[in-house]
Amino acid sequence: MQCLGDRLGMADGAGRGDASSVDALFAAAYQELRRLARLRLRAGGRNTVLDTTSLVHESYLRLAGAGRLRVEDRTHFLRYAGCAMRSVIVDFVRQRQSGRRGGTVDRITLTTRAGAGVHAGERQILRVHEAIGELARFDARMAQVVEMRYFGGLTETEIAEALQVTDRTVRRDWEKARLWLSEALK
Amino acid sequence: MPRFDIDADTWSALNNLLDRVLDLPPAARIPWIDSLGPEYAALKPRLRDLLSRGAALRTSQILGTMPAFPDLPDVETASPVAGAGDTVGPYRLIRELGEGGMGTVWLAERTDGLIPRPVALKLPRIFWHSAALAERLAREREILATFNHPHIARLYDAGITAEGQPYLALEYVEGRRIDEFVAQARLDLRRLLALLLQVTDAVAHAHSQLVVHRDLKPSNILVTADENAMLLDFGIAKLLEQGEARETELTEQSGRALTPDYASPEQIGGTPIGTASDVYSLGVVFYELLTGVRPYRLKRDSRGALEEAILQVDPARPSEVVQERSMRKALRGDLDWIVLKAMAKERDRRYASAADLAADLRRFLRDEPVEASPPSAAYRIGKFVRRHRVGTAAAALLALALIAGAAGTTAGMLRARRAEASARTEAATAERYSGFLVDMFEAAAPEQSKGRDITAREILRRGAVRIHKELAGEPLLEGRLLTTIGYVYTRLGLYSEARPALDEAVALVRGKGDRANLDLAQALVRRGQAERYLNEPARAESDDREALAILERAYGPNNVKVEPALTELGLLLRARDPEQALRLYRRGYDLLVAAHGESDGYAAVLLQNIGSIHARALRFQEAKDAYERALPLLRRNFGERDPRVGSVLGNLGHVYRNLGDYARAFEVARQGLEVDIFVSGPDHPDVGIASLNLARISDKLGDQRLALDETDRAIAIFAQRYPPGHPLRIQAANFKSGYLIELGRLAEARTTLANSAAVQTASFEARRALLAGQVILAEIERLEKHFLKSQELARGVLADPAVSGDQRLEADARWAHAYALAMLAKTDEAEAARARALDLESAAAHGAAFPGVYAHAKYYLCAGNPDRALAILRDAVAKGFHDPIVLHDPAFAPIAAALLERRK
Repeated sequence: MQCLGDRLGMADGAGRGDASSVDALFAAAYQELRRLARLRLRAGGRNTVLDTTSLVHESYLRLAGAGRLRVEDRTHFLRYAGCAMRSVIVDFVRQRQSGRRGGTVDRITLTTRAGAGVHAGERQILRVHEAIGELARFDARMAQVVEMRYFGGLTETEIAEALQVTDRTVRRDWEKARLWLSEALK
Repeated sequence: MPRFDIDADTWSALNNLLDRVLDLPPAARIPWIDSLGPEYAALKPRLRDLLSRGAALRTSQILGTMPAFPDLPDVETASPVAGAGDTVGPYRLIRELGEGGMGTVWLAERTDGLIPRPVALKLPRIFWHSAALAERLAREREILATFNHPHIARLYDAGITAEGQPYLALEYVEGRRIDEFVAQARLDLRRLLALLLQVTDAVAHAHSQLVVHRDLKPSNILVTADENAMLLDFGIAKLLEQGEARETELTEQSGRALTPDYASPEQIGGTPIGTASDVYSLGVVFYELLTGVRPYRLKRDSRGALEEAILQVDPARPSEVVQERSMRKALRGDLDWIVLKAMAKERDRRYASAADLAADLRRFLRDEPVEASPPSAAYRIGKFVRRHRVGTAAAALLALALIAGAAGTTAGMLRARRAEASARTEAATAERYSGFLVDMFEAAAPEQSKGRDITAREILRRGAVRIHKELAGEPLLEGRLLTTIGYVYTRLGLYSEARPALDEAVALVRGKGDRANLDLAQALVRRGQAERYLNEPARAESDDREALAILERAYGPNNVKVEPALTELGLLLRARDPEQALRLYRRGYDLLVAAHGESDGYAAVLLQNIGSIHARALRFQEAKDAYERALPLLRRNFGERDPRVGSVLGNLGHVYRNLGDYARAFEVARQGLEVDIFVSGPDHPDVGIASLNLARISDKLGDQRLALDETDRAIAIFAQRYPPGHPLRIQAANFKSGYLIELGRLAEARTTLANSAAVQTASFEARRALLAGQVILAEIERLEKHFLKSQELARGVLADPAVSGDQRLEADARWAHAYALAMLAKTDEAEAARARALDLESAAAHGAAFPGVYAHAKYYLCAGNPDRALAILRDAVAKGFHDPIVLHDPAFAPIAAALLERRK
């Protein structure tokens, strides 16, 4: 999956004081987002309007606090976050499936209780992933909104900031995406 | 692999339509799609499908929550902040006190010893990315630090560390959460209320400093060993700006990150938050502490379900949910209403402030009457109807009628009831009466009607059944409720259903002595009304007069309470004896104005009725004045979407049409029709009348096809709601045949008339309508060159006693007679007839600008003198006459070209 454009965009904003190289910064951000993706997977991602403080905020705070990101990088970071987290989560789910099929990577022992639900959950995540891909063929921004919200757990305001559009546009895209995806997810 | 089976063009077309349709309220969406032109035919089914409930539901479930994998090893939880012994700004952490949605709380001490005691150090998990926010925090800290209240934990300090971690240092309170404390200490009610009063007073103090808490919940209220409640966490409180907090960056980031359990509807809805929001949260805390349960019972345990409940569901009364029997008794009544008032969904129904809530609690503790009271029947019915989709649009009307019915409906009755309610027994009856009405609605809730939409009709039918079953032996209450049900049927246009209910109501309250006077009079007035609609004038008059006599005897002739009977009688007599009707209206109007002033809404109703008398007598200028005075008053008193507003708009259309202002006429009539459809539903007789009215204007504007369509709509409605022979059914058929004639479809016009004339009718109005039909038939005969027949028909009409008094009908008949005579070349007789017709037109003109111009010209066409006809029309046109219908009337074909030429 391509999150490269955002990676470079973010890197342009780096370079304050003792800031690390572009690669190091990217690595730090990726580690951070990977951690978040796993947190989301463990807890299950709720997407409600009340969650106005997203985990992505905190990550940014951490990186910014460490002097690695500047305030202006925030937009890039947010945009990058949705894509990167989607990629981490999808990779994880795929690994898990192949693990059960006898692969050797990252095998996880399943408890019997969680088993059935987890299978369904994996399928659901992959279906959303694919549906977003399909949606992107017609409307790239609408697909990004879903990605940021579903995989990134970003709030409307953050998504609006990342995409440089109004909150209302984000809400409308989300509303429409939900309707469209009802066809693809049938 | 999920795929969209669609091409890019279709996608973008549908996407554009989605944008437009999503701007509409949900109820308007499908009708809008239906109204799209044929070029959208291919897209419509898919658009409908996209917008179906099922579609939204499917994706909400899938996209709402990402699945969880709780077994995933948490390998990377590394959190750089916070461990015992760490320093955060000037504080050293001692031990963790707790963790919440907002962040962690530590017991900490200042490294520099500036505050000797340990503090509760709050480390919010929020993000700060600008220096402006740090300043803002500092400013708020200044204000919060000035709080000095025995039940509010002090804020000592707040700041942001070099790493960007914000912190708040609060007074450390040794105590337990209030809910745990209450559960364990088993306080009696008075001690519990005393504790709640401390909390409420503390909140009131903060409010007096213009600070709202925004996150009141049991975990923010600690109780010390000596039973002192301490309120924590004004950390996210927000400075009030002019009484209402604006969402700023700070509050957006922290203010709404709450556990929703105690959040107010405005917090959920994201609208501005004020002190009322705290009052609501306090109400929830009260509820929980008094009953031991949360106010909302959720079918699904999810945040979405809770949010929905906070916005929509009325919690059960505390006394209904509490387990302990003694508590149930103690809570029932005042405490129920106090808690529910604090928790009202609409801000302005809550206590205005925490101080008011505290005051009401103190009143309760002192056994004084409290301010909180059960919501009124009207309020509950209104709410119910808004919440459930009750059948058709008629439900809105039903609610309106019931709300009015719940209090007595017309001005006089309503106010009389209030006056009578001072007597205690009457008050009790009134209470049960409203309660029963509300129950009728609630019993019809969708859960109980097995998921089907309930119709207004069904609610009423079931209501009547319950009344019989449960209230036998209480004739007054039963009669009053049946009167209301009958009235609501009438308002819904279901006249035949109204009648038996009202018969029964009258029988129940008759002969029950003076106490039942008002009930009997009201039942009679309502029955008279139904009978009027059912075209039974004799019975209606007898009911109306009896009601009037009862009221005059009981209250005297100059009491406003007699007004409903006066008005109803006036409505009945308006055609037969307009002068008497006018006197009755004026008497009612004067009584209302004397009692309630000139801007009284019901006085405006009478003003409009007076206007209608003028309109019927062709005094259009007077009618216009009365309507134009009534319209703004009706709007102000009853709102834009009210049947009375719909009807006055229609009437204005009628008057403007007669005054020759067709464009304006069409506009108001169209507005009126919309209002009528909205408030009454598309099948209501009022809608039929409005359609007829619009049709007549369309005819004048030269659009006979539209006129025909609208008339057919009216005819279909009338056929369902009125018995055969009803004047409106006959009139509608008359109009229809008129438009058919203009379209040259004479055979159809003849059939239409013949069908409507084939019934027996007793009423005066129906008789006149049939005569008007005969005049139209005379026109058909003339156009088919059966001049003798035409002449006989016209003469027959003129010989009928019912004609006298109706100048319009008489003038039309005289013209028809004159045309026929002219065609028969009976020149002298024709001239005489013409002169009488013209006199009649002038006498009847009353402000109409060009009386009889059109008929006059037509006469000369019939008489073979097109030059004269042309001269008459040209003369009128030169003076401002503008009547495009001329071009559509076959009779004018010979001179149409010349007229057209002239107009250019």
